[in-house]
Amino acid sequence: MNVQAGRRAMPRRRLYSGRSGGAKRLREKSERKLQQSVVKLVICLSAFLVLLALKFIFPSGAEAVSRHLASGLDCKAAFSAIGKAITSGENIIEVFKGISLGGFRKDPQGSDTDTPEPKKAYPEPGNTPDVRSQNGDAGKTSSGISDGAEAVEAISVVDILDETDLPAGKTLSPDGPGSESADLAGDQSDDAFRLDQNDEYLEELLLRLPTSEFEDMTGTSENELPENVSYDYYVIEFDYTTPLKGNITSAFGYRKHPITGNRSFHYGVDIGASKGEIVSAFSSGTVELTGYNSIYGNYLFIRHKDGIITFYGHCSKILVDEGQLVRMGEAVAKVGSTGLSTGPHLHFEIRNGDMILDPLHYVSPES
Amino acid sequence: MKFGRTEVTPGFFLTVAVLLFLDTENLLLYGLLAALIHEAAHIGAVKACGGGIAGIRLSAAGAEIVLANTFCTPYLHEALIYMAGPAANILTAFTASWAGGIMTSTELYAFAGLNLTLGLFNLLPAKMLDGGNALRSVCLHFSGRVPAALTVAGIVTVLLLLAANLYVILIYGVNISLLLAAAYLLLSALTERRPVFRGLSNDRI
Repeated sequence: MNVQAGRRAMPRRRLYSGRSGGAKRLREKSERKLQQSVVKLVICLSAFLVLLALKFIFPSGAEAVSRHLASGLDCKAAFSAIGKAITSGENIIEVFKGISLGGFRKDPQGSDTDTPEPKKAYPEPGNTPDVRSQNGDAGKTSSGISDGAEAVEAISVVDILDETDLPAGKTLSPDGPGSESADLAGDQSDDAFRLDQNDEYLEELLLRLPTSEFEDMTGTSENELPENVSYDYYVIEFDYTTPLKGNITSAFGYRKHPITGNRSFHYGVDIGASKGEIVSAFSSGTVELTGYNSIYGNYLFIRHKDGIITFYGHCSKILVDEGQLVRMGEAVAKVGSTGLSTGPHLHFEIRNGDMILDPLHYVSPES
Repeated sequence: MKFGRTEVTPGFFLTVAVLLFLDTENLLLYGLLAALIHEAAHIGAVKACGGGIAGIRLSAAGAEIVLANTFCTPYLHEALIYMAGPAANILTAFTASWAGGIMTSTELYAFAGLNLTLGLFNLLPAKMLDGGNALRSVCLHFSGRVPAALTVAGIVTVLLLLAANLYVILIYGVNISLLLAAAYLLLSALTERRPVFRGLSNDRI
């Protein structure tokens, strides 16, 4: 016996008891209810069809509305990171922490606005800027600056990757003097971290970097580069080596992102290798920062001479500590697939101050 | 609108339409599949405990299983029936994550993450969620009454969801997903008309 059968028994008893007026009222009530249900159904089905039609006829409009209402949280990337952490041995709490700290921003610059993202024009042949002089300042500043907006540049892309990347107790808050950000700066003064002295660009950068690889750049010309990116060859005047031998699975430049499927810019080179293989230091230097990021997994930064900084991501294990001096070729990490990654590989970046360079000018993983 | 023993309310169509409209990452399909696994596990558990299903009602608030009103089961079985849904989601999450690792599929990882999130969300100790209902059954089994702390836990859950939504708005911008979840829990708790009696009759799971 089901629930509905049990409920029908009540009005039937009332009918037999001779209350015909009550039965009529019941019938009217039932008809009214039915009419209301039909009206509700028609309204909801109409809304269903209208929304469905809008979605397929104006997909870009639907996407804009969705983006506006559903915020910049990249749900799919976040769910993927959670799903991957379940069996990959990653700390799932760290993944949730990464989400809570804004590590899965779909489009932090709000590209749904009318103003397009500023792009840096790729230099025309014969009009290449003097890379040495352009980048020389960055190299100089990164080694020790104490004041002003120029000093803020010294923080560089690598230093301000994101607060999610910073070790506990190290923040890059715009609190100015007295903030704990000085921990990261070493001998740099607190003033160097005052974002209020800086233009919007750096602040934007602070938010953009962790998910920069997910940024949809569909329609962007090959000749247009994201800011802080250069294909130019900058002469590095010290010895260096290839950190890992293996196949190049993704080179520096525009590509179809393996996770989002969008055309986006890849800021480093991916070198495929077996899990656990040793990653060595590009050159001698100091381990600037190590940590875990929900995108790049276990990572580390090494600061070398002349403002050159190298970044190693998706490692299974970091073998060095912050502040440790390392020599060229010294083991610093092990290959892994932590963070958002589709298999064991090393994500390797070279940065000159705030400029991200093409690593394949300097390393030859496949040779 | 009825299809056999399945009743579909107009609100269900509206909810699906809105979700379909807002879904730009094809997560709706995964979400529906995860919900299906969740409800199938509940039904399987009911059947395993000797119960019958009178019907399924799909509304704006999700799926509602109407049990045969003759079904009466011990409170601990009742708790197991409630836990079957989240357990199935968590098990699916592990399986999909493992398969995702083998096939290096981010789609499977996303499905795994969604299942885990759904399973954990349903374990929250709010009245209309499986976690709250299972706790209620356990309390009834051991003490014969529902402690006031359970109501407090439900309210705290709703408040925490609201706070979490506020936090997400601050970090990511406008996002009403947690707000909707909190509103759903709040409304469900306010409109709940279920008497506390032994058995699962006409209960929602």
